Amino acid sequence: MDLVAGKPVFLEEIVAKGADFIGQSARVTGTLHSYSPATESAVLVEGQSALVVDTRLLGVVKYHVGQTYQFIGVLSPPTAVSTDTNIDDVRCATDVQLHARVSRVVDGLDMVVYRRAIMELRTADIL
Amino acid sequence: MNLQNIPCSRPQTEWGLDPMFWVSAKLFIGDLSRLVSAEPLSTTVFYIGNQHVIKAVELVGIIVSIERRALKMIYYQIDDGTGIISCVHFTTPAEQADPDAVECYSIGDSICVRGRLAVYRNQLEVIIRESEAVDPNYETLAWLERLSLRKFLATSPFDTKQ
Repeated sequence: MDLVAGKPVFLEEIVAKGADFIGQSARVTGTLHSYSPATESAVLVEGQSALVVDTRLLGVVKYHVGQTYQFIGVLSPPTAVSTDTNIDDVRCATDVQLHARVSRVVDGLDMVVYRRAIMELRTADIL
Repeated sequence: MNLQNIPCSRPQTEWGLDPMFWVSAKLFIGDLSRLVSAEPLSTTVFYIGNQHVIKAVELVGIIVSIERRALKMIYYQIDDGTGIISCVHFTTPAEQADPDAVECYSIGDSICVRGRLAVYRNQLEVIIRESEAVDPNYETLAWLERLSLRKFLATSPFDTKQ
C-alpha cells in the first residue's frame, strides 16, 4: 500500500470546508481537549475550531489532555459512533473526521512560526 | 511552483566543481520525485534546479512507517508534508550481532536523515549515512531553510567560469 504524504492543514480550514477534504491525507495540529477510550477517539482543539480524531489505528497510546498533538491520517466521513463535541465557543467539524495513522506529541512547537511557515510554503506552491 | 530541473551541460569531469555535488543537498521530499537522472550514472547522480548535480540529500520529516528486513536493513518512510520517501539503513555486522544496539526510531519520531540517493526497483530511495532525532521546531526551521535554498537552486546556475 502506497502511503500519501500528509499535507499540513489547519483545523479552521477543516471546520469551514470539511467536505472538500474528504479522502485527502492531512497533518493536523492541536491541543488535546478530550479522549474517549470507549470510542477510541480524541477531540483536538486549535483556537475556535475542533476536530474529532479516530485513533483506532494507533494502538495503545497514553494521551494527556492539554498536550499539543500532531496527527497524520486520512480525512473521511465520520463513523457512526458519536463523540461529545459540545465545547464552549468552539466549532467542531461535523462532516469529516480524521482517521489517524501517526501521532506525536509536539509540546513546545512554536505555533506562530509553524503557521507562518505553512503559509509561506503554500504561497510558493510547494504544499 | 515546481522546481525546473535542467540537465547539466558541463562534461562529467567538471561536475565536481559544483559544491552541490559534494554536499547533502537540503531538499523537500516533493522535489525529489521530479529529479532528472544524470546519464550514465542514472541511479546515483541527479540534476536539480539550474544545472546543479547532486548525489546526496538531507531530509527532515516524520517517520510514518518502519520495516525491518531480516537483520540487515531497516526501511523508514519519511513524510515531510510535501512527499514520502523510503530511507534505508543498512546495519553493520556489529549491529547485526546485537540487534538491541541498533538505534531504532519509532513511528511518529521526527528525524533528520543524510544520505546518498539511489534507485532500486524503479523507486528513488535514500541510503542513510547518518540520522538523528530532532524536535518539531527543527522541522519548521528546515521547511523555511529549504524554501530559501530552493530559490538558489532555481536561479543560480552551475557556472565554472565564475
